[in-house]
Amino acid sequence: MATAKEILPKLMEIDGCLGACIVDSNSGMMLGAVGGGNVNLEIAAAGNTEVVRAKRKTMKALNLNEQIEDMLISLGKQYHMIRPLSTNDALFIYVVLDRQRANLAMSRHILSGLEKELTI
Amino acid sequence: MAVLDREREVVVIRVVYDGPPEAGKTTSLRALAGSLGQDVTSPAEEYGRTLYFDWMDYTAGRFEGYQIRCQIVSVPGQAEFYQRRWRLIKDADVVVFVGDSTSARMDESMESLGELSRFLARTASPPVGVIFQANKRDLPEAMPLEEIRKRVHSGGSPIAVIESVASDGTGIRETFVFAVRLALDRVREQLQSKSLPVGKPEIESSDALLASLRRREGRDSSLPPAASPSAPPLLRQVIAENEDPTLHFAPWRDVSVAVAEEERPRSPDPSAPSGSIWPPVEGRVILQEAAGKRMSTHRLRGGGWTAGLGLGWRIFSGRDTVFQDLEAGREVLVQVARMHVACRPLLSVHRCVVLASTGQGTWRLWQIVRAERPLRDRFTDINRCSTDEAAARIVEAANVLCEVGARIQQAPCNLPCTLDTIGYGENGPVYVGLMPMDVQEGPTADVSYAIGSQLGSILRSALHDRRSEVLAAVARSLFHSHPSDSGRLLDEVLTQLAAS
Amino acid sequence: MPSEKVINENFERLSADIPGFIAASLVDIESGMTLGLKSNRPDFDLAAASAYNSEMIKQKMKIMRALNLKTTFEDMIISLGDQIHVIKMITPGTFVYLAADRASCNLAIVRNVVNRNAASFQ
Repeated sequence: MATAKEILPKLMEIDGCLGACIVDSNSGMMLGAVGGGNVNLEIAAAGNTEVVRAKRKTMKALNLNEQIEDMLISLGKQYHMIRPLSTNDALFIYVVLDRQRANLAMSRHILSGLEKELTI
Repeated sequence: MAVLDREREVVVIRVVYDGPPEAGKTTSLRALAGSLGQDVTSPAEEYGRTLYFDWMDYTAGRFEGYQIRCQIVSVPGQAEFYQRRWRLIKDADVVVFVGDSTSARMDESMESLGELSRFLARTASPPVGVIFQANKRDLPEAMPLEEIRKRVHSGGSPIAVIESVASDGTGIRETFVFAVRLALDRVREQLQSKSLPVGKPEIESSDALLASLRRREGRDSSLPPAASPSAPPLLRQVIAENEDPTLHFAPWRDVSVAVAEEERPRSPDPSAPSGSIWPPVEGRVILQEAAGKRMSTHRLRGGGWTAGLGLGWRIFSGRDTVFQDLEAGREVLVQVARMHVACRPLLSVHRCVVLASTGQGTWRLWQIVRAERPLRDRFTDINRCSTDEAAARIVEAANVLCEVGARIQQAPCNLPCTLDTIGYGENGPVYVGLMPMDVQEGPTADVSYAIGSQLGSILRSALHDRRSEVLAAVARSLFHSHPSDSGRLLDEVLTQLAAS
Repeated sequence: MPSEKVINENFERLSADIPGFIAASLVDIESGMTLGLKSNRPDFDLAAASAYNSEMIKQKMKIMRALNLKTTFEDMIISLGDQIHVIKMITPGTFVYLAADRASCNLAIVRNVVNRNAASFQ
């Protein structure tokens, strides 16, 4: 079991990763962040976790009882990956990848593993 | 008429499909129904014709957290339901105008579209969006899209043009979704200005809309019951209600009053079905000449209606000569025709009677009479005539009135003898006014009284400063020029004039 | 904008190329109404899903504008327990919404097929 502090650098090791953070969707605030480059991680994370909430509301309305495992958003030159914590679905791991360098399948796989390790 | 139904969590909008007949409106609606998986209901359908409207109810999409409930209505295309079109369009949040975009029919499409735009510009606030669904794109004669756009936009208003082939469903759904968006734009504006009604929609079903239309139409035309033998004869009723009874027979002199667009009956036109025109052949010729183009109708103070400008042809319908159904109207038409035949030698030749659709589902009896020179024309500039000339004209008019009056006495109809209703036809003096709409029984009009009052009023008004001189001249003229048997009548006339 | 017929044909192709295809629609963002669709599962409320997802997208765009995010949002893939949902922007006013069974396919295939066919919906 690892802490946010330990997990975040590992996320940065993903090929093409530009930045990563852990977000509390209730407050929209980051619990920790690494990298970023010219991406304003906080804003991106706040905005996109809103989308997760919207999607959850949608699913509830449609009586879809499933959990969101992850969300992948293609934006211009980047991929943004969002993964809610299985232990606390208000918290998300948020990763920004350079589209040209990243391998989607790989990235997802690693992210999935790291999420399982995380305890907050 | 958009409404926010908070309870059911829907916003209700009305999408109206408009357009000339044969343009593909009904086909479009059916195609849309198939595409959306909905049923179309057509209340009050008679012999396969939509009399009121087609209706479809479709709920989907989302707007500000509410589902969107679309009440989709298509207006009847036939000319006789003209007024219904406006009633239905009045409630629209958006209008899809389906027009035949082939070169031959574009003029008709544009004219009708123009009417729609003008109506909406006058009545809709916030503005109601219009989409021109240019249909029949599959035909070789389809006008190029650029040209259509140019013509549509030259009207000034931003009307979107979307192509369609209703017969195979192309463009139908796309047009509909775009229409919904335009409607939502309007709803958004209403939301922002806090003018969006909240609550249950007034109309929730095709039956409710039908009932509403019927109520609105019933209010506007005072329809006599279809068969009512106890109703007073029209003539007496009209005389009782009008200030100037002669106006009924020469209504082109009456004052026109303001009237709302949807209340106007449609003017008669050559498309009247057979059996609704008399005389059958000449009547159609007259109809074509007098009413070949659509004209606006005007209500007169007396409650009757005229159409057109009343210059070459006078087109008139009495206030109450309107019928619920064609058959009731035809019965009266037949009676009126019989009366015309019976009085034929007395009447000016160029006239006809036609039963035309009002556009409100009712039928109106119109008379079309060619304007002949009435006696009154002789007095328009009488104040500029010399005393002798004035006297001569008075005598001439009196003679004519007497002569025609005597003939009227012999005839089965009771026609008023006035300066407006008697005039010069092709073969001498005739009755040039309107026919009363019911068969007259009872005492005939008193000619000498008519002469006295009519000519007397001229003496009093136009000639008042020369009254005595003119009277003297009239007396001289009468003394010299009349055979004995009509002399007594003219003596009476003189007396009347002198007394006035 | 292709006709409804063409849109539906496109979805036929898509469904053939995606094992586990459940349903798909071309959605007008503004109204949430579908312009064309295909569904293999009558119990999957495609119309409602399309409408709700359009609201989600509208919200996303509102947020992006509010946060002054200049980048263009292209698509979104949501992996649920046993379904994959794809939202692919076609024009600024429309998107394709697609749902597939995770048991039979994977994200890569779905993404690939949708991207390949996206242009045909313009």
